[in-house]
Amino acid sequence: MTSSNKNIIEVNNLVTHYGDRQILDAINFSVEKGEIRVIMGGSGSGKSTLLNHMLALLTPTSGSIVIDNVDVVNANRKTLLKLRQKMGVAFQGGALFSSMTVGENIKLPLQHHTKLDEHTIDIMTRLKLELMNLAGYEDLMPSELSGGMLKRAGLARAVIMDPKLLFFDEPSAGLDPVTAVELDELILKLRDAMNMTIIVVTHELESAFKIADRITVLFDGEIAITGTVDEIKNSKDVRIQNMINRRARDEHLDADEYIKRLTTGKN
Amino acid sequence: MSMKRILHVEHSACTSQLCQIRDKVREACHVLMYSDSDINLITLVIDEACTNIIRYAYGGESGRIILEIFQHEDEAIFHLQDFAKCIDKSCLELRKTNVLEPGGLGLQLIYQVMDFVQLLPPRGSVGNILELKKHLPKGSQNDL
Amino acid sequence: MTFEQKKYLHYQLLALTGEVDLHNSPQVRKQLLDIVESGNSVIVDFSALSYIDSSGIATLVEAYNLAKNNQLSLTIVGATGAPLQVMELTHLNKVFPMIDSLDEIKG
Repeated sequence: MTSSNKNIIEVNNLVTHYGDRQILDAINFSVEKGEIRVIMGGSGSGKSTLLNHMLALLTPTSGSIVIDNVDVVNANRKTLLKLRQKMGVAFQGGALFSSMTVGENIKLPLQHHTKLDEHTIDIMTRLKLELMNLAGYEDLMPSELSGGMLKRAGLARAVIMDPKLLFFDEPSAGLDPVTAVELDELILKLRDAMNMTIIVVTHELESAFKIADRITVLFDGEIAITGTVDEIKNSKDVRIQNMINRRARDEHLDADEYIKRLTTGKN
Repeated sequence: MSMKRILHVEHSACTSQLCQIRDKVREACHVLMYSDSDINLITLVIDEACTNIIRYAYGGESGRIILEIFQHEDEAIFHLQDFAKCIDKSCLELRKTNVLEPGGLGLQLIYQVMDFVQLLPPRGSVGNILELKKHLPKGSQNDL
Repeated sequence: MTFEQKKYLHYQLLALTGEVDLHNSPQVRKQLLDIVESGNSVIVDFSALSYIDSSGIATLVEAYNLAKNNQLSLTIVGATGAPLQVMELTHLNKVFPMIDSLDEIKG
């Protein structure tokens, strides 16, 4: 079924509970095809719950979630399986299997879900490794990779099937600032090269401002705002202002520039 | 659980009073069972906020500052009230280039230490109330 | 707050005692700028300093900048407790040379 709908994800009046406790309250959320959407919010904001519902890992109390024209809440198993093959997921601690090489890890989804021949699979794997700046690392074991490289390998596996949608949970967790920036650039590259719609859950403001087309901010289970980076920066919502003003200055500090800023007020 | 007032002090907006204000803040934070490190940081930012009130809200003119500290559920709430002209909320905004502008560096410190910062309208018709909130350490949330 | 100034090798050593805040930071500022303007590198001794606020920090930054522009140095020795925390919070511990003891400075 084709649709001229520009939204690839539509969430309407989503209400979720955990036992008796309400987590999300009437969430309305839509993402356009090819958009990079960042979801932000403190702990307890419900952002992880929102992500889990979008991945159909949890069932909501009420409301609807439509992804690529599939009603995720009511879809049958077969339909959901087909949809899941179009969705790549890179989760925190989404570990690679330690007993397989990087290449073997990345190939796994292709071997499982497709009937492509091994040569084709190998080439596709190497293409993804190139994209992730991991060319030549396919025969290494996960234990031989740095934290940043492990993330990139996990990402390669998440996108090996050329999904339309990618969900990335806390990309920069556990990474130093320099590596985190490299990962941001990869996310942008992925969207541009593969026309992916990417949902990133993060609490790193600098990252969000760098990669997001739009940012959705959650507080206490409600969406405070969905807007462009400029709209977020100019928000009059005091909770958003606090979020922005509290960011730790992790950026590499150039001593001379800092002193210059402090003494002259100029950048 | 209702708001419990831990401290209420009034001082004239003079730099010579800053030392006494700091001592009272340290005492109150000690009662709230903050770690030494947090006590230092909280004392610093209350001092910075008072400094900003003295320098910029009152512009060096005389005035009063009222400091109140409350415990409410899992947070400590600090209220700093002055009776100067109402300032605009935009004065609380931090932009990279305004570190040197009125109170900039102090403001940065306030945001780094506190969990929440906002400007409230005064109880009377004049002045400002700066509200700062910080989570209490575990264990001090029982009734003191 | 009190301060004491004396010569140490080819430096002027300024030892601060007590708490530096908006009330007395102008005095520290005057002293520091005088030292640098007279052509001396300065070591600021924080070991007896129990508190410093952003006005005190701004004073140090100003003096540091002036020193640097005149090929002189400003070093901080013995920072602990609250003053050390402020230096870390403002990331100025990555800008100012900070040493634990005067022994680290040879002639």
